[in-house]
Amino acid sequence: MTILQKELLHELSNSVVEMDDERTTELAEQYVENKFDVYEGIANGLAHGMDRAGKLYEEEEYYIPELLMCSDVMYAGLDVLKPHLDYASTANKHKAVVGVVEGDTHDIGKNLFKIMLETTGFEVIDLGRDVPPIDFVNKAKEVGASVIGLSTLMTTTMDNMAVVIELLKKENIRDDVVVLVGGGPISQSYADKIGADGYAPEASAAARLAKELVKELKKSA
Amino acid sequence: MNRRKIVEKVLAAKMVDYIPKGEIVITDGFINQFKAPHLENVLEYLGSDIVTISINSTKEDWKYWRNKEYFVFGLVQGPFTYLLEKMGFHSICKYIVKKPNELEEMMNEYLKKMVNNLELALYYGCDGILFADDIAGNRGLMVSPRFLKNYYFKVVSNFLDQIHRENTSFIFHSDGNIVELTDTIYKSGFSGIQCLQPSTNISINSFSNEQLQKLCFWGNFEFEMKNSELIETEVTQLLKDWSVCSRYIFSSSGGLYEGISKERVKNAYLIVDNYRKNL
Repeated sequence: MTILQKELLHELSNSVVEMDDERTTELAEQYVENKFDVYEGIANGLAHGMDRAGKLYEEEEYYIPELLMCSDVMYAGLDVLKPHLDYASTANKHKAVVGVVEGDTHDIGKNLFKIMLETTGFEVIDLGRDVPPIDFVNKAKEVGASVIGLSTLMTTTMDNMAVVIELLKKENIRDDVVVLVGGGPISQSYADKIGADGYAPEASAAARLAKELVKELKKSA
Repeated sequence: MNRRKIVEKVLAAKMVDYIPKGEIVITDGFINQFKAPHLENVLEYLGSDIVTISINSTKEDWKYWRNKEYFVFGLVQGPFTYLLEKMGFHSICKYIVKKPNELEEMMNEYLKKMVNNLELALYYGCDGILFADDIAGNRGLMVSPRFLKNYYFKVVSNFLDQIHRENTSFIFHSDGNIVELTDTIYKSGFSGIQCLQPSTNISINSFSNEQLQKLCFWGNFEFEMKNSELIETEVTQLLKDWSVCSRYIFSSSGGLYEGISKERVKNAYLIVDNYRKNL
């Protein structure tokens, strides 16, 4: 790796953390002009910056608005880099199906989780909000998902997470997919109670957990 | 002494052997459990001391509730929630990070429009103001404390200054954990905090003795997912915990909704009444 590439990766990461969209676009263009590895630019530049922003969020240096602005900036950089991606290098991405369970339309947590999953290297299929349990199962089967991410902010709808898990069992695909649950009223004990594979109190930790659990899933397959 | 006088005394820390009860909101979903589904029937059934109605209610509404001898709170929607609904979450986040001064101006404009309604409400029978703005979630503040202190509470404090009344209580409500803002809330002109969502680890232990002296605390209980036995145990413990605070009002943290059993709420209210008698 040349010094210039290292510097550009470092600057891309910084410009995401600093929420500077113009600077990020300029740096991404410069990166492409120099014909550097685009996947590396995403992973070690933009996503690296997003990861740092996620840590700042965990440390309560950044809050949701700052995190969203960082993700906007990351996407601005992605718009420049993506057209130059060699898609063969991303063909083996794991797929994750995410959504807010039926009865709930609060999707901030789900959206953050989606961004974190994408930056962690997943291809994410976002089913949106108020999603019936069967839709998670059908979509996971259709795309061969490794992860299902279920989100809710309401106690009145959290039981729909258990319904999704029961449906996965009925379809005999429970062991093929990692189920992660999250959202305001969700806790580790609730995740254990309904037989989910994982829970994390916030999006970046949940995305990291998804990555670890998928590795375990592959080992045991 | 009627309910209003009792709540007034508790708010002013002048009566320590009574714990008033009343909700920030009672939704139609909860009210529809009743054969005669009217707010007044619900309040009577529960034995509430408080009624909370919108600050935009009519002159007749204020007068009506005033005559019923409840302590009448006027519910004001805060600027953050208003602008969030108007602009969308993404847009408001952009303003918070990139253009906080413009957002400050928008919050100012919104609250300026509320002054007139608030003055009328206070004139016609509103006893206290419940200023509701969800600025936090289960994990804590949604927005940085820096923004909240430098912009949000600056605007809110100016608003409260404009409508200040010597004997009117201004209570701040937000879901989620806002404990770190307690002193800021007090300095902004509020005399109490409503909600105190226990699922975000808020309890009496979250506050210093000084804060417990200065402010009124209202809520700190969640009915959701609890059976009668658990409610009885938790309410009894809650009352015991808060007994060191002379300005505590019992209620659910976020209001009564469809799916919360009226019998269980009634039982909780009875425990509060009996607790008082046992003091």
